[in-house]
Amino acid sequence: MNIGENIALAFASLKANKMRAFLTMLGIIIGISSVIMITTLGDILKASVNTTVADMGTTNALSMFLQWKEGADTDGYISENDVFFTTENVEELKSYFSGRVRYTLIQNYLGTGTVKGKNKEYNVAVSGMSLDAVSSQSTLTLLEGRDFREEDMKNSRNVIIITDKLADYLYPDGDALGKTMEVKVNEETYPFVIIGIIEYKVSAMSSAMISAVGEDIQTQTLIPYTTVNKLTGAPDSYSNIIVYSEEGIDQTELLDDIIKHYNTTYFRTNESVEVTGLAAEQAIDMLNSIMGTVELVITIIAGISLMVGGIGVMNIMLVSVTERTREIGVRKALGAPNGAIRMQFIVESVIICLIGGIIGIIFGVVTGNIIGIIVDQLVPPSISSIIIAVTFSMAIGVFFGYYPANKAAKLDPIEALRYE
Amino acid sequence: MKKTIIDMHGIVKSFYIGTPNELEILHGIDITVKEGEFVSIVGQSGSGKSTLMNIIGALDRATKGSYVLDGVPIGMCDDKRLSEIRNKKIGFVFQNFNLISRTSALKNVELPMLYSGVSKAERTKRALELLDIVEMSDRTTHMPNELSGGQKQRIAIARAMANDPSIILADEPTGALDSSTGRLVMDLFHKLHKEKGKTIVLITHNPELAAETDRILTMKDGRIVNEEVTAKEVDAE
Ligand SMILES: Nc1ncnc2c1ncn2[C@@H]1O[C@H](COP(=O)(O)OP(=O)(O)OP(=O)(O)O)[C@@H](O)[C@H]1O
Ligand SMILES: [Mg+2]
Repeated sequence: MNIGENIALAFASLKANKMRAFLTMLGIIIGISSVIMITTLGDILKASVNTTVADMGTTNALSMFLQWKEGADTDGYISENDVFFTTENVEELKSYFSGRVRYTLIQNYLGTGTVKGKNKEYNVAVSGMSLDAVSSQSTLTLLEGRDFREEDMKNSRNVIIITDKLADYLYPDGDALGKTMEVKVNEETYPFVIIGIIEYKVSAMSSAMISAVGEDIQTQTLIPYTTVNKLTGAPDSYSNIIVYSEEGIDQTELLDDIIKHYNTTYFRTNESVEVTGLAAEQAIDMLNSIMGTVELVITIIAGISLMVGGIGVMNIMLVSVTERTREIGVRKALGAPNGAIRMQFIVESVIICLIGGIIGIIFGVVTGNIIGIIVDQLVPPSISSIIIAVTFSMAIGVFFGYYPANKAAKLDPIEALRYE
Repeated sequence: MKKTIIDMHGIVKSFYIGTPNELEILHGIDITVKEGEFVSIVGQSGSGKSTLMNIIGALDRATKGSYVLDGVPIGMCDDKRLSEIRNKKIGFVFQNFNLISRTSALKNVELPMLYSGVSKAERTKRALELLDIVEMSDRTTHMPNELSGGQKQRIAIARAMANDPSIILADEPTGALDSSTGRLVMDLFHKLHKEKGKTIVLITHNPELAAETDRILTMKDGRIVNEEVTAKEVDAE
């Protein structure tokens, strides 16, 4: 009796109890589809992080910020006497670490506001940035006009760089450069001269939000950070900066050196705060390890559901063996060796699990990719995980089918024939 | 001189129904059946006919005694060998037909050949021939629940013939049938006996049917108490 005949037998038996077969498969379907969905999601997340990181060029970015010193009196605010990042000490940092640090970015924020168009108001976010902000950050691409210059910074000029999208909204004729644009932020209206136009970009996450809301929430605009200080009256001190290293520099080492430099040069006498930082590399590693943990947890859950599914299969196979005791007796009387009976039931159990597994794979790939479509990050189905899922579901079939099948094989032919 | 196909000496069968109780059902049975004989076993209910038949058919093992089936000492065989013997040398016909449900008449007849490794084409060809012999050619695709008792029994007989066994063992094959249907089934056994030269052992409660066979063995309380060679057999010799 060959395997093809066993498979035909198994299908005939499953067809006779379709609903039962399906319910039995459910555990396997859930287990396998969650495994596949998770691996697909994991791939989506990884791909998404990688593209985000790549198009932000942040792999060599160090984020420096202040934190409370250990044991500091954290009741109060950071006082004005405490040392912050300043234009001066950031410049000093750049020259001190020249050769290792390519660019330092001071960032502050004027706020979100609106710009009046012909018949509509557009939302904008107004950020302050350093000299050469556009040319120094690979995330920003200058399409027209120019970057911030020395005199813009020094004189805190009211100049602004906007996205092509906003430019198209406001000046459909394409003559945005040199125009004065009025931005209303916190009830105040500020005039800015448009000096540059950058490409409008969205990350995977914000594009998901945009497609959810159905409309762009706001576009980014840039002005010199010194202008932000001038307009808001804020002092030239900042609680965080971003340092871009030169290519091929050890991030962790540079980060340590910068922290040490700051804390010995400027913050030594400071009672309450100190400088610390985080390399983008480390952040990515952290993200990956969090994702790894999430994957592990869900894999364990999937494993448990497969286990439960397997026990369900075993249970149904035991029922099936009992129901078909007489049939087994007849088969034995007609000369079926024990091995053939065992094989018949194992094949049946494997077929249940395999069908369940295949449905699970399809379901998992589909749901995984629906999420992929939503976050605009499609990944090809992972062939290796599909192969593993197929083999695994077959293994479950063999493992949980063996005991019932063996029970069937070992039945005494006469007792089986007498079974009522 | 025809060769002996069933050769039993001192067959004892006991059932253990919880130690130390031992229930002896067959108390030393001696039977020899020659190739091509048509033997019937009669006797009151519970006398041990089916128990004996199961031993003859290598479905069960004797507790004591020797049994040689077509030259093979059954006591020496392992389970695998026994299943092979059941498959090739023996064809069972049961009182309650025992067709496999949800499986067509044709597939039921093919079943013994499935276990002896006959190719699919060969199996189907042979099964169709057998269904023709039992006059069931027009019911090949029917499921057992779509057949009458007599039809089921004819399918079962075709199935018993599948691997061309030397012996057909029938345990009350007409027991569940009315007398005219029973007659048809009995005629079929005569046909197989005469035309195919099959050795047949038939258990029956019907003395008229028993009288049609070559030899009648009467059982009582686990013993063969009478052996009668019918007139017909004498005539033939
Ligand atoms: N597995 C068993 N355990 C205990 N006793 C058994 C077992 N099988 C059969 N017997 C007993 O053996 C005796 C003979 O049974 P068997 O079935 O051979 O009788 P039978 O002659 O075929 O009867 P019938 O004509 O009613 O079919 C009965 O008393 C029965 O109770
Ligand atoms: Mg009986």
